[in-house]
Amino acid sequence: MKSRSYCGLAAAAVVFCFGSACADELETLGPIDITALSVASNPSAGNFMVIDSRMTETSTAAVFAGVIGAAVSSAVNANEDEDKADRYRAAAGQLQLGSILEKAIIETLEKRNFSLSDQGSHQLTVEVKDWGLARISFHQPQASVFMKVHVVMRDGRKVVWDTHMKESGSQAALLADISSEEFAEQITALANKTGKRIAFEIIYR
Amino acid sequence: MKRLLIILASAMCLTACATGTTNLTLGLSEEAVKPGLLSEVPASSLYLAEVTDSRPAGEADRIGNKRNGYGMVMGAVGTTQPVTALVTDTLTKTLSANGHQLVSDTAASNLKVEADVKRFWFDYKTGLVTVEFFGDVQVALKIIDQATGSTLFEETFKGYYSDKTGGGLSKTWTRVMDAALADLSREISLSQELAEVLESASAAMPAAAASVAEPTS
Repeated sequence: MKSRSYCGLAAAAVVFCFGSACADELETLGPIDITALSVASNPSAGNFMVIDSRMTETSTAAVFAGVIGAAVSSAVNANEDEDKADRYRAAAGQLQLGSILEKAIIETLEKRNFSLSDQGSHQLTVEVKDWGLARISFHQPQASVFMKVHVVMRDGRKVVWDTHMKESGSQAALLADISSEEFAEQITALANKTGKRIAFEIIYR
Repeated sequence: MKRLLIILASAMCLTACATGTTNLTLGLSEEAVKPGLLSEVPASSLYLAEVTDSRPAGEADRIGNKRNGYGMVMGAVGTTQPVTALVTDTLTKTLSANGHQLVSDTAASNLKVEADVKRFWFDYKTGLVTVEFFGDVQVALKIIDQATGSTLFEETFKGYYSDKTGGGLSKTWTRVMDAALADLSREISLSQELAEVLESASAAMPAAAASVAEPTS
């Protein structure tokens, strides 16, 4: 019984390590042949968020009140960030970042005469994960827009590219000084830039 | 009372205080450098005098802070090489992979590159069970026509990377900052505006471009 458990653990470890190695190998798109590409974005809106109080989270609560203290402190910080996100929520709800990304990718590829087709040999899907405004560091209170995009390219059923792109805007200001219009403008610009970048990564693979 | 002091002292010890400076050996690896849009324009020779450093106060003598469990700064994260040298190396490798070259002789090129490090920062966000590490490198690049003194191109490039893990020390920090440098290199390689400027400058100076494209032995 004991040896069976050890075998199970060893097998799980092998699968985990092999999976990690494969994931690392797929992070960069290699020089593969792509005769035609179909591009699609996942319709999900992703997770809009503001990361400010959470950036300054420390383990003080954990030291004095253990796991419960840490959980409470974490929840309080998350709650504060939810409140800070409220003023941007209406603007965020209007944005369809997936579509902006998709359009930027297609436009860039078309300009470079890259073959695009719904029935392409390869299928690219992009999905916006976390996005919003994040404090730029622990000691600096300014925030800038950010987005995380999951990019997957398949050759039929085989995944040939699987990466999580993390992009951040170059403008930073105090949250109080960023209006919802400025936020919408900056995140749209970042989505456009990210879309172009994905297209160029495909062209110069 | 004594027991309480012992408990508090133990609690202090458990907050992972790390003092002193941890110097990371960073650099753009050869595998991380790939040709991009810049490789499509005729080869240029660009004069780089020096990379300047205008990082904000509090970030100029280090690239990150080591904080204890209470958020107090206990030590610094630094680099074994100056950040200006790291950026020079990144620019050199990036332009070289795209068929261009940086030269140190002002007479060897009509184009001058001015590079200024605006930010070179490593940070982390601790969650309940995970830590997210961030690397942020921002470099302002200017291309100047040496004959007229006019600025042909000006943009701040940003190399950024973040990674959420269960934790990590200097090896993870190095990986995150190296990835930010690789991202900076890729941003520059794929800059359409920079490619256009190099192309028009090369068209205006065909003789200089030809001498770079076919170097004499």
